Amino acid sequence: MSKCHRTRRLMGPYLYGDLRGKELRFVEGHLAICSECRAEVAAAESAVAQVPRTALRPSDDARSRILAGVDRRATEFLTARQSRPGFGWLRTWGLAAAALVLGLFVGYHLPRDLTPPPGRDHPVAVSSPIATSMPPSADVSAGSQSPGATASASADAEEGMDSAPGGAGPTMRQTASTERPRSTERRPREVAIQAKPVLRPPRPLGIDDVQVAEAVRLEVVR
Amino acid sequence: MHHVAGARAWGWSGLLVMHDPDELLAAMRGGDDNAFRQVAETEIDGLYALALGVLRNHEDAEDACQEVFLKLLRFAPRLSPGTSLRAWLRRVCLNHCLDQCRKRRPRRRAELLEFAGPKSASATPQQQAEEAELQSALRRALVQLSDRQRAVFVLRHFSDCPLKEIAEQLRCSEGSVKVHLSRAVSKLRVLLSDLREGREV
Repeated sequence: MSKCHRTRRLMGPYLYGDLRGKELRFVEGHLAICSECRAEVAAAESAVAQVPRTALRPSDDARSRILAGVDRRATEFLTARQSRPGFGWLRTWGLAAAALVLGLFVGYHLPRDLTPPPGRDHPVAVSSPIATSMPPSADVSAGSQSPGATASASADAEEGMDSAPGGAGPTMRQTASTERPRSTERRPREVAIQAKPVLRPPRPLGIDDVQVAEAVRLEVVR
Repeated sequence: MHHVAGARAWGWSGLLVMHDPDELLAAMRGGDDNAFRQVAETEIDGLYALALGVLRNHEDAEDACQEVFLKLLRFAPRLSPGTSLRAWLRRVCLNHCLDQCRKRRPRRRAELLEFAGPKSASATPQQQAEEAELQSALRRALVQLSDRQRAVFVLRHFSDCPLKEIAEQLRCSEGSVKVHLSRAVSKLRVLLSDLREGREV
C-alpha cells in the first residue's frame, strides 16, 4: 500500500515527464504490477489532457488593454524619471530655504515671548493681587482651585444672587432647584473672605482687641 | 502620442525581433524601449495565464500583468546579465498574485474563475457547447484547488514552468511541489470525470 501511496504522490510529475532516475524507475516498476494505480494514472492523464493549455490565454481585447495600459504607464514612469532631477533639486533647496527661514523666525521670537519673566515667585496672575499674595495655608484650604477659578466662581455667585430674586412666582421653584449647585460654587468665595484679614490689615475688632484695649485703658487710668 | 524629452514615445509597432532572452535583457539594460516592448509581447500570454490561474479574475489578472511589466521596466537596469528573464517575470508575477490573494481573501473567496479561451471560428455549435461545458467544469475544478496546488498546476500546465523553478518561486522543496502537483491532478481527475463520463455516453 505504501508503494501505491508513494506512486500517487509522484503521479503529477510523472504525467508531466518531470521524474528522473530512481523516482521514475520506482513509478514505472510499480505501475507495471499494480493495475489499480495504472487505472488511476490513466484516468488522471486523460483528465489533464482535457485541459487545453491555451485555456488561460488572454483574449485579444484583454491583450490590447494590457499592452495599452503598460504603454501609458511606462510613458508616465519615464516622464517622471526624466523630470525628477529638476523637481528633486527644487524640492531639496526649497525645503532647505524654508527650514532656514523658519529657524531664523523662531530663533528671533522665541526668547522674547516664551522665556518666563525673571520674578518666578510672583507668576502669572499679576492681575489678581488677592490670590497671589495669599499665604500658603489659605491656598491649601482653598483646595485645588486656581486663583482665577476662585475669582470667577465668586463672580458667578454674585450674578446668581442678583438674578435669583428677579424670578417671578411660577419660576421660583425652578430657581430654587438651580440654586443648589451654586451653593457649592460659593464656597471659594467664603475662603477668600476668610483670607481677607491676612491680606488687608484693618480688620474688624474682635473680643480680644476689646479686652486688650480695656486693659490698656485701665493701665492708663491707673 | 506626445513626445517626452529624452524618452521615446511608446508604441507597439515596428519591433526589432530579438529571440535570445540574454540579448533582450542586455538591450533593455541599455535602455532599448523596443526590447521592453518585445518582452512584453512575448511574455504576456504566460504571465496572464499564471495571474488568471492564481487570481481567478480577468480584471485582476490584467492589473497584475501591467504591474509586472512596469516592475520589469523599473528593475531592468539592476538585473544581472545572467538572469533568466522569463523566470524573473514569473517570480515577480507569482509574488504579486499571492500578495493580492492574501489581501483580498475575505472579500473574493467565492469568486469564480472565468475563462476566455480563444474561440475557433470554424467550430460547430456542438463543439462550441462542448467547449463551454468543459470550461465551466474546469472553472469549478480549479477553484476547488488550494492556492498552492493551483499555483503549482497553473505554473506547470499553462506556463510550462520546470519544477525546480516552481519550488524556488514558492519557496518550498521540489518534493513538496511534486506532491502539490499530484494532488492537483488527482483532484482534477475526480472533478472532471463527471464531464468525461457525460461525453462518453
